[in-house]
Amino acid sequence: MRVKLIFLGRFSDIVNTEDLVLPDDIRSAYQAAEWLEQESPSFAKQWSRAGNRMVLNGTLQHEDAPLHDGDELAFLSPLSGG
Amino acid sequence: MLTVTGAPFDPEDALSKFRNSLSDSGAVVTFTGLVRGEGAGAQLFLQHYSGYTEQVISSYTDRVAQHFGINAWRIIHRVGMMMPRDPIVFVATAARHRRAAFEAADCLMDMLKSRAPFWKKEIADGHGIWIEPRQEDHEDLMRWKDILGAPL
Repeated sequence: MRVKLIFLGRFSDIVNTEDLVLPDDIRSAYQAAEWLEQESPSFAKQWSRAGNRMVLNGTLQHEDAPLHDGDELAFLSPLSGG
Repeated sequence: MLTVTGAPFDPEDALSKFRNSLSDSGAVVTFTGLVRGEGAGAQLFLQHYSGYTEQVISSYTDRVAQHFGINAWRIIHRVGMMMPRDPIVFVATAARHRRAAFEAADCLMDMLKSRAPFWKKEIADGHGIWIEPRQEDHEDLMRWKDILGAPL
């Protein structure tokens, strides 16, 4: 399953998206976050802080959601504002 | 109208175009935000989530325009790498009378400072620091909580 991962704010410094491919057994947004925590201690440290958000296909996620082929999942650190 | 752009923009040109587009407005209020900072090598990197940032901002602008009864508004927000004194943001509002124009511009700026999905990194001497919201920005936003609603 191809899911595009986007990292913003502090996450964009932490995660190198080149060759980053979710394993086929990852089926939900929360599972993707857990996998990233295991793959990257730096991601896990930032993810544990308050104020982070997940956006799936342009919609802010407040709970877990299933992932489908072609989805775009973004991890947002706390906003700085404009 | 909202524009998020990676290109430099001219606030004076933006105001001229905005004013020329108006009818039945007796008041125009504008705000321009500039990159602060001095010293060689000082830069600001402003990141956004293309599509999502515009969507979130747009979810607030109609609400603000309707609440204050303004005739028109314009937001230009730059992203990417910027230098000190570069314009970052331009906000303009137009209304029949000045109070609505002032308050709508104030509200839109507070919204952009605290609710809009942007991420800023200040860069100096080759080192970057991500900026967190200031407490003052959150307090400013409280003035408009009944208009903007709860954060997403």
